[in-house]
Amino acid sequence: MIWEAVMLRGMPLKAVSAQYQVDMRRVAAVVRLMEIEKRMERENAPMALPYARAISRLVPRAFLDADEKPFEPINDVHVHSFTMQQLFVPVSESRKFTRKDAAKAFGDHILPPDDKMRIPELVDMERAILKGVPQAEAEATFLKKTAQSERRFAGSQKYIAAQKDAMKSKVDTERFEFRIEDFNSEAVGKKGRARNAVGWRYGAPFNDRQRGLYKIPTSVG
Amino acid sequence: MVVKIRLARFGRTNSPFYNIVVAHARTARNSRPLEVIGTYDPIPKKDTYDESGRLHKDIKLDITRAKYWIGVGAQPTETATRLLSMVGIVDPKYQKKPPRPSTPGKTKTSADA
Repeated sequence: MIWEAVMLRGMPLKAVSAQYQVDMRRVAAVVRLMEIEKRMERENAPMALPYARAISRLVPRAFLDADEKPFEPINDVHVHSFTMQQLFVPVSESRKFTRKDAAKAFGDHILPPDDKMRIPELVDMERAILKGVPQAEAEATFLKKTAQSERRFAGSQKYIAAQKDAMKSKVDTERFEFRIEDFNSEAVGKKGRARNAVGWRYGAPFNDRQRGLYKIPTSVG
Repeated sequence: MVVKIRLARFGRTNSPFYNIVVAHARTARNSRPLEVIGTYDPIPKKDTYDESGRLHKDIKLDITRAKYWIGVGAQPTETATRLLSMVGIVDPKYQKKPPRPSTPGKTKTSADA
């Protein structure tokens, strides 16, 4: 259903997230997984269907079409630990002390909650409805705004990827394409073992098989 | 002692990963080199959303340093030559020649003329 909304109807992720009350990251994950499944189907790859059935019996399932309680909160703001402390900030009465100022008081890198929200357009829509804008109209502007913001984000991501790609020189051989990326090998730190230096480290253990360390990837490439 | 540009094998069983290193010729393969100038991942990979099935291999190379070391007389090994020749730092050792006609003289193609 989520995949249908995103890929077939072309709805923006934010709008799908708001409609089904599913976190945006989960929406994106669902779409990616479905794409993989569809590709495997196209390639006639063997599917582990008994395994899938067993897993779906083990884990709780939510049915989005039934009008039940929302699946999960979608617009929660992450609470930074810096903002958990009590602060006494003298402010003159003539000054308007906004959320932005409060964030700044906690630390220069702390964002106000309005900037931290995943779907700020949702708040705008609710505000518009409170002001008396008809529901349908507010929803239409919400759709338009979310689509716009997503297009902007996709554009910037594409630009970054293109920039990275342009840095690589590509050599096509018969069998493979070699992608050669230039880098500065002298930025390896004092001892030549900086964390972000290129290549395998000398004299440093590679902890990929150590117990108790997270090996789950935290980003999607 | 001769300075060489060569590969040092890291990684695991069945999943090699090479550092392209500058090292003295008579030191052990994986000993600390003079300098690591790049990496070579020999395992071919697909692009995530590319369905053509075309495979690529990733190389990272500090081209300026590689040029410098070649300039001062470092000798690349055969494999290193192959990699360095892709960016034009050294001349390729083997160049692909067009296949010779099997019976010369008998049939003349337009390419021969």
